[in-house]
Amino acid sequence: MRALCWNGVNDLRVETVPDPEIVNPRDAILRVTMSTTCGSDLHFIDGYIPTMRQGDVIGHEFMGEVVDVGPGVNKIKKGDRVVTPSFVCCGECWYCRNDLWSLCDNTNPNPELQEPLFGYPTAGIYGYTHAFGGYAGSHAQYIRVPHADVDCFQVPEGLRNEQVVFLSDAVTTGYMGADFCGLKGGETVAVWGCGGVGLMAQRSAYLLGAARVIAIDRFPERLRAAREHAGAETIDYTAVDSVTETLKEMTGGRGPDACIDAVGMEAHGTGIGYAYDRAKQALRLHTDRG
Amino acid sequence: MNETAPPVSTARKSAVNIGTLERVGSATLGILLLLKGLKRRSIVGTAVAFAGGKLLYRGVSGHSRLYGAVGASTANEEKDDGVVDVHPSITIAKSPDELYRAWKDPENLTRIVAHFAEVTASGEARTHWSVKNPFGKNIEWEAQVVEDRPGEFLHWQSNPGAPWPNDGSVSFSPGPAEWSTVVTLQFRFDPPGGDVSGLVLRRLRFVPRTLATKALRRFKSLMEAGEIPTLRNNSAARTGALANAF
Repeated sequence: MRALCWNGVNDLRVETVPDPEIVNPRDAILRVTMSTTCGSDLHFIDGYIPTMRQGDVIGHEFMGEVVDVGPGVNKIKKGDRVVTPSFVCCGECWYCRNDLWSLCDNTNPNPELQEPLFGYPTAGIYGYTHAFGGYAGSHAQYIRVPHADVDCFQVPEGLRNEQVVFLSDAVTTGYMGADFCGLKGGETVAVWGCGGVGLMAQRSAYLLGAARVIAIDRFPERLRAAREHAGAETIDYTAVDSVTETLKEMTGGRGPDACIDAVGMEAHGTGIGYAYDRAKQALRLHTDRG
Repeated sequence: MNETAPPVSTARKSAVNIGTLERVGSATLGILLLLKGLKRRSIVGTAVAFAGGKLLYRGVSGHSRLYGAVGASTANEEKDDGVVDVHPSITIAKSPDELYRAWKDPENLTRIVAHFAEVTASGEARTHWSVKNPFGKNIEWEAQVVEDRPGEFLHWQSNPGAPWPNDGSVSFSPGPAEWSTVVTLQFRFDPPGGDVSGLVLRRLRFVPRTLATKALRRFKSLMEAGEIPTLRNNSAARTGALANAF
């Protein structure tokens, strides 16, 4: 089959790779019908995250039609239209049972790559470096999905593919950001970033009870999307002296009740803070510790 | 008659005085420089290769003359030399009985340690082990179960004459809440002095510990999720035996 492969830093190529096969009884094979990009893909494409190998198939936000199932699959059937999350999850470990799916104990074939850094491995992710499992990704014609009964969600009739594909990543990530805010109703939430995840976070904040959502970005089309699709108020950070002061002015000096960062590793900014960030980015020294 | 004084011990001169992480870094950098230097056939290349060789030796032996001369040491003496004795544990969401029976099944054991060994049943409570040493050569031995407490504990030992005498045990005890078991693996090996590859493993102790921890993770995945996560037949634009190794 044809697939989009990482060939080196900023070197992506469409190559011919072997078709996926059923390996374990709980596997399914999907014919990928939609696969989208994610801002986080930039991190390994640009070389910020190590452990990619030349020839890795990328892509982790997708949906498809089931074309084959292993003997241990009971709920999902051939022909089903399904959406699958980016993370591979077993459904049986303590983390899965406690809704901490991205920490699944049983889906990372290379736990030793993350243990020195984090102490424990995360779950595996499709198409996202060997530290995160090394599974072939979804920018391909077909993909192998382990634990299909747990990880494949059947799409109800009447919903278009475009309406559901983002449940694979952007919606759930943005929703989780809003969920973390612990909203009780009536709050003001500020969201940095009006990309895919940012817009979902803004919408989710409203769904979870926020009264006002203030979205921050610099690209006019993204700010417009935030206003028109998410219903947010917007701040163009290149057009104001200080985002902090602007937020305070908009909220009677209190500032937002909760903040969501939907920008991440390769942030852009202005002033001295940005110069510092750029230096760290260039030296690949950007860490969780700031 | 004068009694000659016993010879001054040379043990201190060759003692390990470099910490493990530093040794790994030294050896890695050493190999890289050695290879680079050898590719460049010139005076500079020779110098680079020589430096690489020194760094590699330093990493593998664990001894730095410079450190020794100034009395410095980055090694933790207790941890960096001596027998390898690792004892990782993991918590699995199954009962002790179920895990005990599963561990005893040679087919399961084969899968659990497949990342570094080939194991086959070779008799009543006996298994045959084949491991590739760091230099690619097969090391083989028989392991005999010497203690067996159903649902609780298994203890095995390598046969006399095994090239890397080793000793291991696994215990199963109730974990937190009712649903879990704490599985603790204890593994000890002490290769004889002349065995270079055993020496390498002994000095890079994190390797046996990582292998043992991974065996426990594989056991956990097998028992909880019904399968060990794998990249077998993973689609990639690569060919060859190492296409899906990392």
